[in-house]
Formats: sequence, C-alpha cells, structure tokens
Amino acid sequence: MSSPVRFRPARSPLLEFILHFSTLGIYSCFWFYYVVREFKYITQRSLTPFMWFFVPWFFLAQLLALPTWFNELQTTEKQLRLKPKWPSVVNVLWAASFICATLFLLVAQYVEFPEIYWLSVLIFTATLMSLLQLRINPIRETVQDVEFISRYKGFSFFEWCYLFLSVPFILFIVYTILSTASILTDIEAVEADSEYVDTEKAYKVAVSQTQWKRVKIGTYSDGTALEELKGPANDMYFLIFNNGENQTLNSMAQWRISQVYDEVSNPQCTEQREYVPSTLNVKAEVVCTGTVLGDSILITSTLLSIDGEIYEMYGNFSAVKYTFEQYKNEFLTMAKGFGAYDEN
Amino acid sequence: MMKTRLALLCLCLLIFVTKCWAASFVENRHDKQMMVELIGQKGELTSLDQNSLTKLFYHVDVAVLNKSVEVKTTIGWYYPNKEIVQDDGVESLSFNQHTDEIVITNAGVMSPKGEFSWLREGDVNVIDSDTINVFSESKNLIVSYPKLQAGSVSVIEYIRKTDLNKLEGTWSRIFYPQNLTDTLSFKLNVNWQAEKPLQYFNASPDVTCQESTRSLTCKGALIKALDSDDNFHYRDRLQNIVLTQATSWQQVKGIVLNGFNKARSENQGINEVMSELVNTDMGLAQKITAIHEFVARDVRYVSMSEAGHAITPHNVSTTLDRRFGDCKDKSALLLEMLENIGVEAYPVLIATQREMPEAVKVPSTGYFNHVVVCFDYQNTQHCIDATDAYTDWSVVSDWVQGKVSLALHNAPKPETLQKAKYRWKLNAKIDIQLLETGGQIEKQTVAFVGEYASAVRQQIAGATKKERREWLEEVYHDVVNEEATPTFQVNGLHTLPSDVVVESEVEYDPYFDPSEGIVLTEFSPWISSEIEQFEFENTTYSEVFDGFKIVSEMIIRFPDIWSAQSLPADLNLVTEYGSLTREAKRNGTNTIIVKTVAEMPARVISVQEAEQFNAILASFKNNSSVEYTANKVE
Repeated sequence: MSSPVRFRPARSPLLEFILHFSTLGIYSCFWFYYVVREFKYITQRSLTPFMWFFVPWFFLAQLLALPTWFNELQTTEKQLRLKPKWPSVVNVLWAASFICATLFLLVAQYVEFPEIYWLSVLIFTATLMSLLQLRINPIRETVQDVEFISRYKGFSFFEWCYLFLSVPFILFIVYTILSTASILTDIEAVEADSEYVDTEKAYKVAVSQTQWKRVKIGTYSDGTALEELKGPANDMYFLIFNNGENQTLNSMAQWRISQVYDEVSNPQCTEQREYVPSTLNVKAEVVCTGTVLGDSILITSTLLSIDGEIYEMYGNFSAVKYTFEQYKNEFLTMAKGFGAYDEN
Repeated sequence: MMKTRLALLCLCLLIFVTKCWAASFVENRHDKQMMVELIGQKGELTSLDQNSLTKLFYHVDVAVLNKSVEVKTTIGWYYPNKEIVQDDGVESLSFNQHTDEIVITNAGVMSPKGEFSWLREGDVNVIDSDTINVFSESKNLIVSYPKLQAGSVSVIEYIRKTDLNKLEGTWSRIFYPQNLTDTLSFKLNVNWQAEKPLQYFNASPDVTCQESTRSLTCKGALIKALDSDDNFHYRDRLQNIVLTQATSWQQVKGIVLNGFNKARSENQGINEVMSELVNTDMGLAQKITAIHEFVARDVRYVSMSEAGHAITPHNVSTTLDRRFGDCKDKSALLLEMLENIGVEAYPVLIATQREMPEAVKVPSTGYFNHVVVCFDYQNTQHCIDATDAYTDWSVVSDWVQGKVSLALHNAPKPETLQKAKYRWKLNAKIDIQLLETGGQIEKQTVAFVGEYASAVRQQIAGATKKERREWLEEVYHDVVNEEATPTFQVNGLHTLPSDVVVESEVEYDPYFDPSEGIVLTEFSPWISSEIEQFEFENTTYSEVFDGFKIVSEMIIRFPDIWSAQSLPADLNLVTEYGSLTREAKRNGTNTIIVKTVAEMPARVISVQEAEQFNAILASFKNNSSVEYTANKVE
C-alpha cells in the first residue's frame, strides 16, 4: 500500500544535531513540520503540519504548542504501542528549556549578549532537538504500511553534502568565538573614568565606561593599528592609527566618510572641528550612523594632528536596539575623549 | 585708500596763520668757523656708522618774546655713502606762511677734503607741505645742499620767527630730539618773558632739562634712532619736548570752542536750507540722515585755513553760501543744523596721526589736525566726519576711529575716539549651481557693511562705468577666481545708509568629469581673502587690529543626476582673538547650505602676541575651505 505521506527514515541524533546547529535552527522548523505530518498520518488526528513550521521561532506559540506536541507524541507512541523513552516530567523540562532558549533568542534581538552565550544557546537548542530524535526514531522504526523515502542513513544527498560542509564551518565558528573570547581577555582592562595614555605619550583616551580593555593588535584591524580597545558590547571597539605626515585631516575625514557610504546602509555622516583646548591643533570628529544587517551602527573617526602627524581614533559600534541605545552616548563621549597627551 | 583720504583731509590744519612769507629765504653769512667748530666737536667722522645717515647735532634756541617767538635751529648731517647722499641730500623746513618768517642764516656743505660749498638762493624751493592737495596752507622750504658727496657734512642754521599777534590761540611747539637716525648731540635753550609763562614737558628719556628763572636748558647725547616698524605712528613713539603757552586743556578747548561759536553766530540762511531738508513728518534719524547727506555730500571739501581761520571756522552763512569749506567749516555748519533739529552736538578735535593719548602730555592745539562732530543718539555716541562723503552717520569714519581726540565738551583731556568692534564687515551669499556638463553657474551677492561700504564707495562711487567695472573685475580676480569674468550690478553706492551690494553672475566652463561622482573643494573666497589682509607684521610695536566679521553663506545645488553625500565639516574654532564657525546642512537631496562666520573683534595686538595671532589667522584660513562630495544617482 502506498501512503500519501512519505516517511523519513530514522536518523542519527548526532547528525541531526549538526543540522539543527549549523542552520541556526532553521532546520528545526522543517523538522517539526515533517514530524507533525507523520503524527497526523499515524493518529489520523486533526493537525495542521505547516503551522508547526513556525513553532521554533515564536515564543508565545511555544507555550501552547510544545505541550500539544508532546501530547501528540505520546498519542502516536501509544498507538504504536511504544514505551516513551523518558517520563512525562522530562517532557515538561524539555519544553521549558526550549521555551527559555527561545526567550533568550527573543531578548537577544534587543539586548546584546556575549557571543559565547549565543553559541551556548544554539548548542543547547540543537541538543534539545537531537534528543527528540531519540523519541522519533522508534516511531519511524515501528510504523507499518507507510512509504519511506529511500535515503542513505536517512539523509538525502543534499543533506549529506551540507553535513560535510557544515562540520568545518561549525568548527570554525566555535573556534573563532572561543579564540576571540580568549584574545579579549589577553590584555589588561582599562579603568573606567580614567585617562589612558599610550606608552610613547603621544595621545590619550578619556575612558568613561567600564569593561573596556586593550586587546591584541590585529583583533579588529589589519595589524597597522597602534592600539585596539574593545568595549563592553560585542561589536564595539576603537582603533588608534598614526597616519603619518602625508595625510591631512581633510583627506582622512573624507576617506572615512566615503568608506562608510560604501559599506553601510542608510549612511549619514557629520563632521565637526574644534581646537584642542589651549592649542591651535584642530581636532576633527566624524560621526556616521547607519545600519548593518538591520542593526544600528555608529562609526566615528576622531582625527588630530600631533607633531605634524595625523592620529586617528577610529570607532565602530554596532548592536541590537537596546544595547545600542544603552552605549551610544558613552561611545560618542569616548570618541570625543581622544586627544594629544600634552594638552592641558 | 585711507592714506589718500588722510592726505586730502589732514590739510585742515589747526595752525597759526599769517598772510605771507619773506621774499628771500637765504641770508647766508658763510660762517666757516662756526661750522668747523660744530663739526670738529664730533670727532672722527669715519668712526661713525658708515651705512646710515647721522644727525651730528640738533641745537635749538628759543626766545619767547611778548609779540613773537624766535626759534634758531642748527642742524648738521653726516652722509657716509653715495646712496644716502641720493636719498637724504635735502632738508625740509616746515613753516606756516601766514604766521611765520623763515630765514636761513648759515648753510653749506663741507666735503671730505674740508672744502666748503655755500647754499645759495637758488638752492631752496618752497612747496606745499602736502603736494597731493594744492589748497594746503602749510609750506615746506626744501633745501638742496650743493656739492654733496659721500663723506660730506651739511650744516644749516635757520631762524623761524612767529608773530604771536597773528595766532588765533596760544603758541606751542613740539621738538623731537629723536629721529629715524642717530643723533649725536641735542641742545635746547629756551628763554621767555615773565608775562608769557611757558609750560614744558620732556618726554625724552635721553634728554635732561634744567629750568631756571624764565629759561630752560635741555641736553642730550648719543640719542639712538627710533626703531621703525611696519605699521605704527611715529609721532606716538618719538622722544619729544613740548613747549606751550597754554595753561590747561580747558583753555585749549575754550579757544577752539570760541572760534566755533563765533562762526555759528553768523548763520543767515540756515532756516531756509533746513526747511528744504527736513519736515515734521520725519523721525529724528531721518532728519539726521538728511542733514548729514547735505553737509557731507552737497557742501564740498576745500582747505580754507587762511589767516584768521586756522582754528576758527568760517561763518556758517559763508559756508552755506559757498557750498564749500574745510573740516572746521563743515563741522560748524553741521553743529548748527543738528542744533536746529534738537540734537545737542559738540566738536571733537582729532590728531589723525596719533593713537596714544598718553603721548599727548601738555595742553596744545598743535597735536590736532582735524575735527569731527559727535552727539548722543539712543544712548550711543555717534561721531560724524563732515568731510567724509562716503560714510553713513551711523558709523564713525574708519580713518578717525581710535585716533587721539579732544572732545570740546566734557572730556578733561585727550582720549581715543571710539572704535567699532568690527571695522570690516561683509556678508557674502554665494549660490553655485553645478551643471551636468561639469561646469557651474555662480551667483554672488556681496554686501559691504558700514565702514567697508564707505571704503568701496570711496573707490568706485565717482568712477566711470569702465573704471568701476575694471575695479570690480580686479577684486573678483583677486578674491574669487582669476579666470572668470562675471557680469556685475552694484547697488547702494549713492545712498549712504545702505550697504554697498555687489551682485555678480558667471558661468564656469566644465572643470570636472560629470561621469564620475563629485569631490569638490570651494575655498570660501571672501573669508580667506579677508583673513590674509590682517597678518600682524610689526616686530617692535603693538598695533591696533581693526577687527572684522565676515559672514559667508554658500548654497551648492546639484543637478538631479547627483545627490549630496558628505557635507563640509561643521566648525567651532574659538580662540580668545575670535572665532571661525560653520554649519552645513542639507536642503533636500541635492542642495547643501553652508554658513560660515569668521569674526575677530578689534583689539590691541602686542608684538609678543604676533606669532599666536598670525597662527590663528593661518589656521582660520586653512580651515575655511568647503569640501563636499556627491554621488551620481543610479
């Protein structure tokens, strides 16, 4: 007998983990769709599989959907006379964990968390999803009179290709996040409400915020920066350059502005110049705003001439909404706080 | 321009007048012994500075008698080289043709070999003291020394006799022991009679004076030349000794004021003129404007300081009848007319070549050579120079601002006349329409305000159409662009209360590639050109900086194929000497408006401040350029 629903074969929870994680949860949507479709076929209950496609993304929906899903799972298992792999209380814990993870991702749309948190939550949710595979695999192995899609170890050619490609990608992402976290703790923190002076005593930076730290040269720049400072948010840093005697304030400011116009969406730049107090050294402050991948971005370039050489403190700050608002003004204050060391 | 005006108007000299001068100026007695003795006292001439003129001796004997004053002066010069012979081989002796007689009693040249050449009648010539204006009453006796050669010494002894009965005021005289050359010996002997008491003031650190009964003896030796400079009034700085018969500034003021009162007492015809100029419908400011317009522009300036009118103006009725007069005459007329409309005005004497009242020590009219009329209007003092046909009464003529003045009102002593905070004010509106061809149409509206309007009027109000156009083109080429030649329209040249507004329009040939985005720099022409003019160049003396305020609004319009990308930097460059501020904003997608204000108020700049001041000017200039970019719309 041929069934209108073609079932997927049982799959390796480990490989499923890779798919859930490497697609940043997009695969989870399809997973729910296919699984509910199979539930519906087995139990003949009134379910709408395509609606389950959206469950992984909607926190509020999950409050109702996940208990329902476990009910359907139990109904299906009961119909196939399968013994659940774990007691009902674990279902509740699973659902609560998944909802918390979704809640975190929801909050993270507005408030920034360290990247390591993101990584942890993604691993956690992928693990949760692959745990469910332990309940689904027995169903698929037990169900009778259904047509299975013919696949090697349950995965299509495309999925195998993706798995092979995504493994190095996942490793790279994990390595980058972990190594960045490691680099960022390499060099000392910069005290808040202090004046940071470079070792050559050419320039200084007035640090107004906490959690700023000096990071290894090359963390953000191509290695030509004199100093790199990382802020409390993820994509928040200042780079200090000495552009030598061949540049002018005008040329540097124009170059930075054109760079912003090339790389940022909806760019708006302003430039203000004033004298460094008690001197005739002009300080130029370029401030550009825009968006990158939907997040607000603030790019600053504070330029000043020290002994005929043009020094620049380049600032970059991009974050989700509330984090951006939280740090924006202090970031601008720090950008203004770049000055020559010998000024009063 | 200011110098021209100065030269034209300083002829209103308040000096003492007599009717004629002696027919012969030379009564040379060929006294070789006197010359040899004086020169011999100076020792070996070759030991003197061989690169500059040296005043060997400057001896003056003054005898103040009851009816006259006789001043015998003896001067010896050493000319070390040919260049100095060429440049300085003449003596200029100033005298007043109406009050003075001048006679050269012994003059000649001793060559390096000791041979003597005596001055003859034909070696002297009389010219007006100010050759630019032939109406001058002051004369100069020009003495050309004969057979002067490198290593020569010239000696001149002359007597100038002033008839006190012909003076309108008291006698006074300023002697300068110091010169622009070194002076080896200075002597001043003064004797006076009891009934003519004399005051003196010695402002010469290198000269010591000793007073005894009715006599004064001053001596100085090795008086160094005054350090010269780029911009200074040497009369403020030269060491001097003043002799005067005036007893107080009050007396000086009284003498001059009496002259004005006398002139104003004869004022027939004033009511008829006033009825033509003003009416009851006019406000006070309008009335003042009408009166000023009449006195400054309908009564022309002619130097009229003949006998009896050195410090006393001609009668108001005479000036009205003639429709000409000098500064005193026009001021008296202005005073009378202002009083007629209820404005309480008063004359103020001006020393146009002095800016330091502290250097005007003793009461004397001799310091002053000009007069203006001042009054209070709406709690602000206004001063009108009636000889200035180009400046509105609401601003003080630029050439008298900050000069030493003596108000014939309630000022106890000389002070400086008020200065504007910004003497040079200009508003420029520059509208640039960039073209798809890569060129641009530029329209400028430049408004010269106040004193600046006056200066422009002075230049072109009386010029022919061709001369005016040439002047405007020259200014445009100097300030804006050497290549382009716009069309011009000038407004406000002949109405004093207005700004002088110059409108120009020109289309520039393509100069950028229209197929690319635009990266352009405009250099804020009016701001940078004005700033350039104010560099402080003095190395010895402080200088009064006039102050400027330039407002430039630049509107840059792009054609629809471009949209503005980056704007010029906003500026907030503030210093203790002034500021350069700018605000740039968008007006729609393809128009940028850039407003820049450069302002530096008037102040005294010392030599120590020069480097800082010039650095600020340079910084303002460097930062005045306007850079912007635009992208082609895809």
